[in-house]
Amino acid sequence: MLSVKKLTKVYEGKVSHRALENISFEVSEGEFIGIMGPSGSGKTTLLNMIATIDRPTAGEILIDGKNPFKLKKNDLATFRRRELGFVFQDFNLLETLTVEENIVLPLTLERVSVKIMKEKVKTVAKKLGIESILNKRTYEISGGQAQRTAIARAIIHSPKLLLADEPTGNLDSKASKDVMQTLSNINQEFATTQLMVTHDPQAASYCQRVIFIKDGALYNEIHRGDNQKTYYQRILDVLSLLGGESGDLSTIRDL
Amino acid sequence: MTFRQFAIYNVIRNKRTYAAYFLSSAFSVLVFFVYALFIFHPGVNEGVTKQIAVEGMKVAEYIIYVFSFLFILYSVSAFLKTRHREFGILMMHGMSRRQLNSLVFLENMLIGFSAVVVGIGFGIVFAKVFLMLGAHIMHFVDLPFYLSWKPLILTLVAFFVLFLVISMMTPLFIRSSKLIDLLKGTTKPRKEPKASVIVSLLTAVALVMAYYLSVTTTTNNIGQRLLMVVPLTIVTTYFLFSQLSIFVIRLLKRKQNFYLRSTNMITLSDLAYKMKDNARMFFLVSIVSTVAFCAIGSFAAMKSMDKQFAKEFPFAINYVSEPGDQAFHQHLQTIEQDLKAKHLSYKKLSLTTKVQDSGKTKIPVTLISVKDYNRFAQVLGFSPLKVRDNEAYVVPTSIDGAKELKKHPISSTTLEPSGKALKIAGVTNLVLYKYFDSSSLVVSGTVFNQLQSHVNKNNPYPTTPVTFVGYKVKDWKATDGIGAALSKNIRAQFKKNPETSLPYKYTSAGEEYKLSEQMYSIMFFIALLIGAVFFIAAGSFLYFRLYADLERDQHHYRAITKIGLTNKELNRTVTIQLSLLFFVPILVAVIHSAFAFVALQSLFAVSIFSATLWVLLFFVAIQIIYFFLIRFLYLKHLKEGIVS
Repeated sequence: MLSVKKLTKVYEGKVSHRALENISFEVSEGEFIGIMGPSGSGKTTLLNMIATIDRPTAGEILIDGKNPFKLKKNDLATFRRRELGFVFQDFNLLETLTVEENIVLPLTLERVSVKIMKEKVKTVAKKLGIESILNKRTYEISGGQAQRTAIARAIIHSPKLLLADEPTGNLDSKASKDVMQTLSNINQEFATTQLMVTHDPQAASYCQRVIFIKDGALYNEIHRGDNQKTYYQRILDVLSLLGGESGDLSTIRDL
Repeated sequence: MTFRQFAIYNVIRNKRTYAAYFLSSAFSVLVFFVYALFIFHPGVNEGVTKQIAVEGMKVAEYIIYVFSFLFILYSVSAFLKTRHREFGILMMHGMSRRQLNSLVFLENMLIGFSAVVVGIGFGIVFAKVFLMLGAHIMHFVDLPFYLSWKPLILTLVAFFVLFLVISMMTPLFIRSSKLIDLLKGTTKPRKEPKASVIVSLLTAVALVMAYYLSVTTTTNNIGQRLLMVVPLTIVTTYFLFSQLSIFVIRLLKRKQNFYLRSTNMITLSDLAYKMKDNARMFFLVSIVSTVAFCAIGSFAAMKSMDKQFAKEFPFAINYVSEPGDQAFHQHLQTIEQDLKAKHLSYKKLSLTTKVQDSGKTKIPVTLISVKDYNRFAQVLGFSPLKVRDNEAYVVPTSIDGAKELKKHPISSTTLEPSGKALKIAGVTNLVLYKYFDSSSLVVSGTVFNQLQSHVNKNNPYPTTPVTFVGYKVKDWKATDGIGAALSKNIRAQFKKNPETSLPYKYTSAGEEYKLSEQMYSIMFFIALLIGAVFFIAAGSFLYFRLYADLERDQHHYRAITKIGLTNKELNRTVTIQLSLLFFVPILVAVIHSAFAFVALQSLFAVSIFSATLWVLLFFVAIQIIYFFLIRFLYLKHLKEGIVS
């Protein structure tokens, strides 16, 4: 489904900085992947490039066999609109729109009929438990509700690949748990391939596989077994080996 | 939600951001429409002054149109700059460049179209009031309410095209197409522009020079001075803000005792952060306000010129009889009857002139006997002259002419064909009659009697010996309408054939005064509305500057209040920042205008000081009211953001 081949990114500047070096990995259909690593390890750079926000210096990314960077501008827009969904740390909801209008945005851009929009919003909102706030404006809802709205927006057009950048970064533990459970459910029910960058070992423990990066290169990867609790412990072990600053780890929470 | 609805929501739910821009655009449309109302009003097309009013308003229409174009272009580009992050989010969700352009186009057209509708709507509803007010200010007889399709269509089409063109240009303003840059949006602090010692020094020197040039302007060089001073001032003002503001803030920051005390650090660092945007905005507001002040101030000043008028017309009624004027006595009778009918007492004086040519220039010269001159001087309150046989005094036609003659004196002249050489002994303070064909020479009685009149027929404008009759009336302003029959004949003849004229001239100071007062009132009315458009646009720039950063400021102050900024300290910080924003550019505009008025003063014989002072005070007062209104709203909005 997604293959990353020898990806390298260099930021030019007074001192050029190699953010990613020769990273390669594969993600198969329906997988839920977490990417972890200390601050500055290049996680977000990696995600930005898969999200087609940023261009790689070398190497290629294939999504469903297609290289998005070879597409023309307009086709790239259509590609993002149909195949990709995004969830950000700071939600990035549009303040001028209501919750419902934010959710249907990708369909509006696709010029889908209003009738279909309404049906889809109903289904998605029900699944995410945000039916009661559909008519509210973004400043009237809580952080957890905002992130669930953003997730609804990211999946309403049934994308092939859902990308999330620290989706729990701005949320309290209760809301984090809700959001991760939601993402996990979506992954199971719709078989959406998901890729998530996170700092939070607890959030990562919802993923089927966690890839660790350090200094722009792959460091390790671990697979989830049957027990989420031991999986969580293994994630913590790797993180402590990674030797990130202690501030990079969120406080350990009860599961 | 359809795509069109999306665009509509973007505008309607952002009304706070667009409010000032919308009102300012609507006001421009309104003023444009009001001018169009006058231009197409059938009642305005009669009479000379009304035609002048129409011409003036046509010019005003162009000025407003061009200014509106620039204003809207700037505003739209400024709005788009603040929305980069939003566009980034949209593009991440698969909005194509074309869709983005059409979104922005739709939004702009929506605002533009509503501004046109509101502007015209207001215009129609208050058309009667505008016509009445305009007629009152311009001293017209009341204009009846009249609304045709023409002004409506003109305004509608003109502004529709304007908004259409600007909306089509908007894609040019979203330059960065790199998604990652758009997403970072306006969050990254803008770099402080660099201050350079050389540029700063040059700026200071240029400013002093510009001011010096305006102070030393005279009637003669005002045109060429304006061409130098105006561009110089504009450029200097820009650098004044971009360079000086940096220097001042750096200086204050370096004074640690000051910088680190109480809320100063917050205020100053915030100012530095917004420096580049502020400098540009300061510049725009200063220049636009200066134009508004000068336009209104100068015409307000011109209205107050009755003192100058009394000097220009020592006689309230002036009658010049040329050879071939058979109705001479009959005309004088008419005048005297009119004066009696109005119960105006008068002193009547008359003299007869002779004409010779100047030897050097071949220009005709009118000659007056010193006996006649002294009779006139006694009545008009000037000292009598003693003229020797080889001497002459010049009687200029106007006050300006007198100044000119005193500055560049003529030492002597030889009359032709008599060959009489005369030394010019001086220039009299008395001016006889503004519409004499040339300045006159006062010669001794002997010389006057010796000389014979000589009319040079080859001269394209032959000057003949005339009989001048003047009526001195104390209440000269009341002489409007005296001898109306004569004025009417002259105008009728001019209409029939402008090449030839009747064998007499007639002017009443009252009528002249009324006409010129009306002219200046028309100019004042036109300048007033244009000035208002400019001033409101300047207000809109200020408003925009504030609200563009509101969200960031909310965030900023939320963080600071958490550390422990009291409500009072917050108010103080905001008030200092706002007052700088509101009053620094206005102060510069006032100083600029003051120097401009000093330059303009050279055009007038009377002082324009008090009129212009009132205009400036009026604007400053309005700005103070605007300041308190915006401060109230801004603090309210800011605190809303902090609480939540």
